Parts: sequence; structure tokens; C-alpha cells
Amino acid sequence: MGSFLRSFAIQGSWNYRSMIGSGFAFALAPFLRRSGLTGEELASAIRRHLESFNAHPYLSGIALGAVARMESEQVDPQTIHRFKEAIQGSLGGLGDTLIWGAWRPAALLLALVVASIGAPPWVPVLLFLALYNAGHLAIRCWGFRIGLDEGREVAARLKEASLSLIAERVFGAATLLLGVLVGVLLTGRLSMEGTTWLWPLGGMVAFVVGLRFGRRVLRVATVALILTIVLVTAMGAI
Amino acid sequence: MTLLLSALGGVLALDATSLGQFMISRPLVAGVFTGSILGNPAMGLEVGVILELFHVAGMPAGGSRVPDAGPASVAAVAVAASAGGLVVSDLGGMTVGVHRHLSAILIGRVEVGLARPVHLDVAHLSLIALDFLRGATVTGLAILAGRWMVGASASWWTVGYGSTVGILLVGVSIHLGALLRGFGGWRSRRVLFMVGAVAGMIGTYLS
Repeated sequence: MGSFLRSFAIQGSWNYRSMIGSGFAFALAPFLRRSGLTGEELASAIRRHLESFNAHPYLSGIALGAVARMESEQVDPQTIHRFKEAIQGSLGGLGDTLIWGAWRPAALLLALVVASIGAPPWVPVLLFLALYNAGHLAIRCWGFRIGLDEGREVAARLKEASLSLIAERVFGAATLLLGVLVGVLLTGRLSMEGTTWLWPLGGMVAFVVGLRFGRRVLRVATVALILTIVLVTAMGAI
Repeated sequence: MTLLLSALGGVLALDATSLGQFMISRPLVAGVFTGSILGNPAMGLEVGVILELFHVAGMPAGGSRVPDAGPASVAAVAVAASAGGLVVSDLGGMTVGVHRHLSAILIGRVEVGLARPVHLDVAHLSLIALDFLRGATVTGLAILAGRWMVGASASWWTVGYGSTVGILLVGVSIHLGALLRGFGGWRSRRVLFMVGAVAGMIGTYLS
């Protein structure tokens, strides 16, 4: 339980040297203590786990549970090291796709649609927090549990769970919600009094640019918008 | 009030990476939180929605640096300036990078001299506390600077409300296009997207 709770702070010392390696050791420490390790033995085990490690924070519990199980079975350190090296890429890629790429945008888009049709302020916020965190907490609990249950065999359970397939379905739902939001924005916001047809046209061109170039143009686009606002403001001052 | 909002910014900065990640740091949530504290949740929602539209396509994959949207949203609602939130979000992201470099130095020292396991606990928790202070400082400074700048330049913005919304929505559109690409792109998702868009338009006309 201590390790599971600490896994919520696994990114607390995220750094460019070991990424979440130190957070992993921090989260594993209560389990190592409970296993009866003390003094130099405990310090040595923690030092081993300070090595570089990176994974999606929600799915890192899978590796954490599996390593806890392996430590309790006194698996040799080299095998544990190789296990962590092998599984981190999958946990990172799967988590980025499923959580950051699909689940979070889908929950946010639903909340944005609800907000844009005029719901009271707290309704979209509570809807988003409840929906998003139901999935968030479920995947954290499930991940830590299968890690503890399966130990080094956890990769097979991960494959069975078909997280990629789940992500694909969430992408579909998120696309539908994105369409609804764009429809609401075009007909609601842009048809307001004082707005010309040029803005929807500009919006469509910008949408196609985003669609063509993806996330790599976002920072440039934001900087361009800020500069436009600064320029227009400066012109007003003259 | 600035101190209270700075503390809120600190808590939200923690949520973004260091602690929990329950997504209370999302602009939509942070905006309404801040608006409620200031007695105007509707304004908080409006600023939060605009900032959320500019952040929803962002993805903190791997170790990439991402905008620090939570503190930025608090500051943007506090001074009622959405565009300011975009600037603070980007600048705040740079301070996250500084925090990560400091973390590397401290954790490197712990690795070398770990005599007692509690040293790692102290280092880890200290870095979480430092992240809170970072977020609170970014928020506080952004509110103070934002008040001054908005006060000085509000009358210089001579563009009408319709065009202001238009400029923002053109900016947002590029993010929404990138989001659709992230969901699989036009070819594989166009039917679902168009069904949604038509449903959204019909729903708006009917309501």
C-alpha cells in the first residue's frame, strides 16, 4: 500500500539524468523495508533502483508491482535490471497513446462540448474530473495489481489486456466529440454579431494546417498568435 | 488574495507532473477554481475554455517540455486576460526545465553518497516542495505583471468583440486540426468527424 501511494509521486524528482528512476526507487522503498531489508542491504537495493528509468506515470505501477514481486522472490539484480530496461518502452508508448493521446483529450472534449452549450461552470469541470479520474485510478490500481500478481511475466497480461485496441476505440469517440465541438464553435461562436465570414474561412485554413503538420506547428502557431495580439495592441497605442 | 492564488498556482503546478496528476491543473478546471475564488466562476470558465482549447492537443510524451498551464490559468483568470495565459504557460514551461536540471544535480548527489535510504526520501520530497514554490512564484509574478500590463494597455485593444473571438478561434483551429491528426488523421477519421460536426451544428441551431 505504501509503494502504491508513493507511486502517485513517482515523478516528484523527474530529472534529465535518470528521468523517473529516482521516483521509482522512492516508491519502491516501503516495499523493500517491509521485505525485511535494513541498513546497508536496504541502501544498496535502493541505489540499484536509482538507475535511469522512464515510463508513463500511470502505467509505471505495473513495473513497480512486478519489481516488488521480483525483489520479494530474491531474483538476481541483473535480471531485474534487464526486466526494467525491457518493459519501460512499452509502458511509455502505451501510456502516452492511451492516456495522453486518447483518454485525456476525449474527457476534455466532452467537457468542452458541455461548456460550450452553456452549462453552469462547475458542470463541465466535475464531469471531466469524475470521468477522467475514474479511468486514471482504475488503470493505476489494475496496473499495480497485475504487476504484483504476475511479476516478471506481467508483459503477457499486458498483451492480453489489448490496451492498444482500447485506445483505438477511445480515439473514435474522441474524434466524434471533436467534430461536435467544431460544429458548435462554427455555428455558435463564429456566427455571432460583428463576426464576418472571413473568420470561419481563416479557421478552416488553420484547421487544415494543423491537420497537415500536427503537433510540431503548435508552438509556432501560439507564438504567432501572441505576436499578432501584441502588434494589434501596439497599433492601438500609437 | 494574490498570495492565496499563488498558493493555488503552486498546488496546480504539482498536479501537472510531480504529484497525483488528477488533472486539476487543466486550464478548464483551474479557470473555474480561480473564478470561484474571485467570485466569478463564469468568467473563470470562459478564460479556462479558451486556454484549454489551446492546450488540449498538447502531449507530454517522453521527457518533452510542456507548457505549465495550471499556474498560467490562475494568473489569466486573475487578470482576465486569456492571451496573457498563453505567454505565462510557455514561460512557466521553461521554469519546469530549470527544475528538472536542479533535480538532476540533487539526485546525482544522492546517488553518489546514499548512506541512508532516508536521504532519497528527503531529496525527493524537497524537490516536490521546490516544484510547489516554483509554481507559486510563477503564478504570483504573473498576476503582478499581468495587472500592471492589463491596466496599462487595456484601452489600446481597439478590435471589436467579434473580431477578437475570431482571432482566438483561428488560433484554436490549428490546435484542433493537430488534435484530429493525433486521433488518426483525416482519411481514417473523416466520417466520424463529419458526423460529429453536423450533429454539433444541428444541435446549436435547435438550441
